[in-house]
Amino acid sequence: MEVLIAVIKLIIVVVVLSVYVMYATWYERKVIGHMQQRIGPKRVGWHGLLQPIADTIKSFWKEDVIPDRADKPLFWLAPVIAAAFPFAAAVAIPFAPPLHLANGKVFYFSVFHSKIDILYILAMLGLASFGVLMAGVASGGSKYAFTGSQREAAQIVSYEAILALALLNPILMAHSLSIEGIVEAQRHLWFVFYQPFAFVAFVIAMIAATARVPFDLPEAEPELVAGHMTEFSGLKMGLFFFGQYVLIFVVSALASIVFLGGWTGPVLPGVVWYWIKILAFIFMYTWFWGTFPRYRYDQLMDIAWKALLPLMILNILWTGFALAVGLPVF
Amino acid sequence: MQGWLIAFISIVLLFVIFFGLLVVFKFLSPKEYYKEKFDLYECGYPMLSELRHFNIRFYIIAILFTLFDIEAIFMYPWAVDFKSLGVLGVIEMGLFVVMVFVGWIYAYKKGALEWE
Repeated sequence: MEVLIAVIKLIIVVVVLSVYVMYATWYERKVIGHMQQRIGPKRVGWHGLLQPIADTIKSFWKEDVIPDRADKPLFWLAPVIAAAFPFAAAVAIPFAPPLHLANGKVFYFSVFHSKIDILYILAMLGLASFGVLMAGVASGGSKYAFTGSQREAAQIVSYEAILALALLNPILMAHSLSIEGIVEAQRHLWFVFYQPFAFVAFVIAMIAATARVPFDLPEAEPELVAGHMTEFSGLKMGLFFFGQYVLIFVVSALASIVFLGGWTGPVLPGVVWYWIKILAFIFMYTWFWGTFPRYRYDQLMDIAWKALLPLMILNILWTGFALAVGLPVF
Repeated sequence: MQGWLIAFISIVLLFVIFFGLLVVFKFLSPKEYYKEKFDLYECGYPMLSELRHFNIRFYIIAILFTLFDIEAIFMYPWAVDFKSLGVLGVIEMGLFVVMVFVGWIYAYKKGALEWE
C-alpha cells in the first residue's frame, strides 16, 4: 500500500517537475529578455506561453544522430543518468510542509522521507555528475565534448565538496539530517543569521555545481560549442537540460530549507513562505545570468580550493568550538 | 526499511521512464544517413583530430576531492551526535580537521592547486 502511494506520488512529481522545467525555460527567456530590454518569446500563444510546449514537441521530431565513432551503450545511458539522478534527488524534496492528520498519522508531500534526507540528496547530486562525464567519454573522442565534460566534472566535483562542507554548519546547529528536523530547529531564527559565511559559500557552490552563469564554463560557447552536449541531438540533449533545471530546483529548495527556515515565517501560511523562498532562489539564478560575466577556469578553481575550502573548514571549527563552549556562533 | 525500498523503486522507475522516452524518440525521429552527418562535430572542416587523453590536473583534483569529500562525510555523524559527544568530540574532530588542513597547506605549497 505504502509503495503504491509512493509510486503515484512519484508519477505526480515527475509530471509536475516536467511542466516546471518547460515553464522555467520560458520564464528564464522572458526575464532575460526584459533585463536586456527585449520582449522575449511572444509569437506562440499569449505572451509566448505555448513556446515551451512547441519546443518539447519539436525535440521529439529531431533526428536522433549517433556519431559513428560514438560508444553506443554509453551514448544512450549518459542522458538517462543525467536526467534520472536529479529527479531522484527531487524525490526527497517536500513540496509542502507535512500534514498532521486527525488520526495521528503524518502525510508527507515528498515521495520519500527518512532521517538522513540531506545525505541522500547529496549522494544523488554526486551521482548526477556521472552523466556529464559519461557524455564526454561516449562521444568517441570529440574534442569539444571531451574537454567540456572533463571541465564540468572537475568543477561539479570541486564545488560538491564545498556544498557538503557548507551544509555541515547548519547541521551542527540543528543536530539533525532530516528536512523536518532542520526546519524545526529554525522556528525562532533562520540559520542564515547564524551562518552568513556558510550561506554565501553555499550559494556560490550551488551555482557552480549546477554550472550556471557566472560559472557556466563547461558550456562556454565560443570555446566549447555546447560542452558535453555537443554530439547529442533532439530529446537526448533535452534530457540534459531537464536534469540541469531539476538540479536547480533541488539546490534552491535545499538552500531555502537549510538556511532560510523552509516553511517557517511570520503571518503567511507555511506553504506560501516555502515557495516564495524557492522561487526567489530560482529568480536569483536568472538575475545572475543577466548580470555577471563569466569567470575564467583557473579563477573558478581558485575560488573553490583556495578561498571557500579553507574558509569553510575554519567556519566549522569555529561553530563546533562556540557551540561546545557556549559562545554565540555569530 | 520501507523508506529505502521506496527510494530504490523510484530510482529504477525514473530510469525506466527516461529510457522509455528515448525509445519513443528513436521511433519518432526521422532517419537519413550520410557519412558526414554522422561524423564528429567540427567547425566547418572534415574531422581533424580526436582527443582521448586528459590533463593530469583533473586527476589531482579528483584525488583532492576524494580527500575533502570524505572528510565532510566523516564529519556528518559527528554533527548529528554533537550534543552527546560534547567537548571531547569537538577536540577530537578539531584534531582531525587540523590534520586535514595541514594536508591542504601541503597541497597548496606543492602547487597542486595551481592552474597555469
